[in-house]
Amino acid sequence: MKKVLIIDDEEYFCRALKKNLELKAVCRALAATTGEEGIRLARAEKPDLILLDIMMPGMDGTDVAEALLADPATSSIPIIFVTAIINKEDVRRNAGQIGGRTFLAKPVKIEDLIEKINAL
Amino acid sequence: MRTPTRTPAELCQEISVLKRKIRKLEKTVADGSRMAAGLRESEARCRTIIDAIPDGYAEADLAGNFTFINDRISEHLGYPREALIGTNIRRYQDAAGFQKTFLLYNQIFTTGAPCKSFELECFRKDGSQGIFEVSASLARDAQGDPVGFCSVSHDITERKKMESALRESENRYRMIVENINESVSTMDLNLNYTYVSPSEIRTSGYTPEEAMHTPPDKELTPESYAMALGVMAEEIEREFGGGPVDIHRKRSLELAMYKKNGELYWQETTASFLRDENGKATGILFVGRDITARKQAEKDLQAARDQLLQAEKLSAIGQLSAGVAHEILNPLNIISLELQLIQEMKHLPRDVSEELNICMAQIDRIVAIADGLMQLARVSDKKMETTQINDLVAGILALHKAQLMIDKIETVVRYQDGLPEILMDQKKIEQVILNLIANARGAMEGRESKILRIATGWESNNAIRITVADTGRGIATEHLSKLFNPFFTTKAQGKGTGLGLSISYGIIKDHGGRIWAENNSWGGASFYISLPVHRTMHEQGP
Repeated sequence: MKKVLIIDDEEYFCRALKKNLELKAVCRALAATTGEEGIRLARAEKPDLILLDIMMPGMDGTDVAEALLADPATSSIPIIFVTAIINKEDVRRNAGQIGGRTFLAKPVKIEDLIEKINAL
Repeated sequence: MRTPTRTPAELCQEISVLKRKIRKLEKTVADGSRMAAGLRESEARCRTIIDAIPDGYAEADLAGNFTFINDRISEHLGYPREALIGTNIRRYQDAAGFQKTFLLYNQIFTTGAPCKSFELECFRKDGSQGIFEVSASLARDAQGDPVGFCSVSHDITERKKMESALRESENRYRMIVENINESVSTMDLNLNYTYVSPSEIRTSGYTPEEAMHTPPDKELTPESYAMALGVMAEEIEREFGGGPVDIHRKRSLELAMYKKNGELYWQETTASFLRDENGKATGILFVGRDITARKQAEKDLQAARDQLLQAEKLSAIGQLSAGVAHEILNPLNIISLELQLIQEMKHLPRDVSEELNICMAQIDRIVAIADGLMQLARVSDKKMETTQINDLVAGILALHKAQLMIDKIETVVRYQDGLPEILMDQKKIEQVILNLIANARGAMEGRESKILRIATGWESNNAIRITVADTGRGIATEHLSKLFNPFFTTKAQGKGTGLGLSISYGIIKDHGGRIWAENNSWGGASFYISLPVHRTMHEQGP
């Protein structure tokens, strides 16, 4: 079963998303509520996919992404930015690809996420 | 031979006769003395009168030499009396003046009839010319033979100067009044026109004659007419009401008026009372200046200010919105996931499932609003490229042709040829035009006549205009100024976020353009977009 790492400072988001994914038996979900913890878990668990929030206190999503990409141990793990600062219309219009990155706009529809996971 | 002697009786008789003769002679002498005294008295009285009258009195012989003058004549001509007596009138006139004098006096002599109130010019001792109003008649002796002329004269030099100055002044003012751009008119106190300047034709198209017979309620709009009447009534009350009045006061009004061809224009009219030398009002003076251009400029300035204010408001709202949207979306995200979890639970009662669906739909609504707010806030990330606006519009209409047909909307398009390509973010401008078309469609819902009119053209030398007009119900006047406010909507709740026009406004503003709306003559609304043409791209103007 695929392993998905959720990095988001909203604890309840992580919990709800984890439960949704596990309920659907789509994947095993891990969660980290800080950037630093996320990087540690990414190195330790080598997930198949990282769902990364952008707006986080301390190390934000772009810092985390840069760190993950800079580390050969984690650089190949695909990252989907899951964020509220990009609007759904832009994401839809650009088929989820903006500036070479993949985005999923909050609030997340589980079906959309499952589609992305299955596409891995 | 000795003469026979007279008898005493005869002597007495003779003496008596002689005495009677003597007495008669004495009486005659006495009478004569009395008459002479009476004559002298009469002469003295005459002299007193002649010297006392304010006018000049002169007597001349038939050759025109002065035989008598009063002190006034001396004052008129500046010579002492004795220096004038015996001199001829010709001495005090130039050739033309004397010619005139000669003809007049000759006429008096030949007709015997006096000549009244003619004018003579004479040169004074100091060289200045005086003008005199003269009445002259023929003087006759006791036998009725003409012996000379008597004349009474009045110095009208000053009066003539004043008349000349007045005429010159009047001519000067008439020339000014007839050549200024302002229109000048006067009315009597019964509000009947007494004068309209020729410049009226340049202002209103009416000739002065036509203007004088055009009733004011036809010249003015109803509101301006009512205002003017009100002010007139106030001023007349103030003038004739018995209280103290400022005779120099004026009132200025901005009046909306109709030209002869029915076109509306604005005039700033200043009114004041015309007065006589005692300051009593005798009429009303109006000076009108066409301020249509100024009013339009004020309107444009106000529109520009409104736009700027709107832009500032939107900018402030936008910045707030982005933060708010983000903060809202995070908890909303959690709610959404929790609801999705519940929806996945087994054996969920149907009605609970239905309620959850409703909740998810509301979450979608909130997300749409938050999306819109974030668009509002977005720092410009335009992708600018040169675009032919006609092609852009044609492309949009082609895509929506089917939908417009389904809605039974007739589309009338007018493209201006030769418009330059302009720099724009195509997708964003498309978004704006789509938004306007969507609004137009909504406005025409339920209407019998559904016509969507789209036109492109020149707004000015430096801007092009796109017009999207519908035949809907139009926009209430009180809504026109709020149209581009975020969340302002005239649609039913749930139909639209009320952000479309705000977003459109932001996009157009970002392009350095303008967007505005007016009600049109088809009963609906017309939206106008103006986009600047960049000179480097533009080779020829309109």
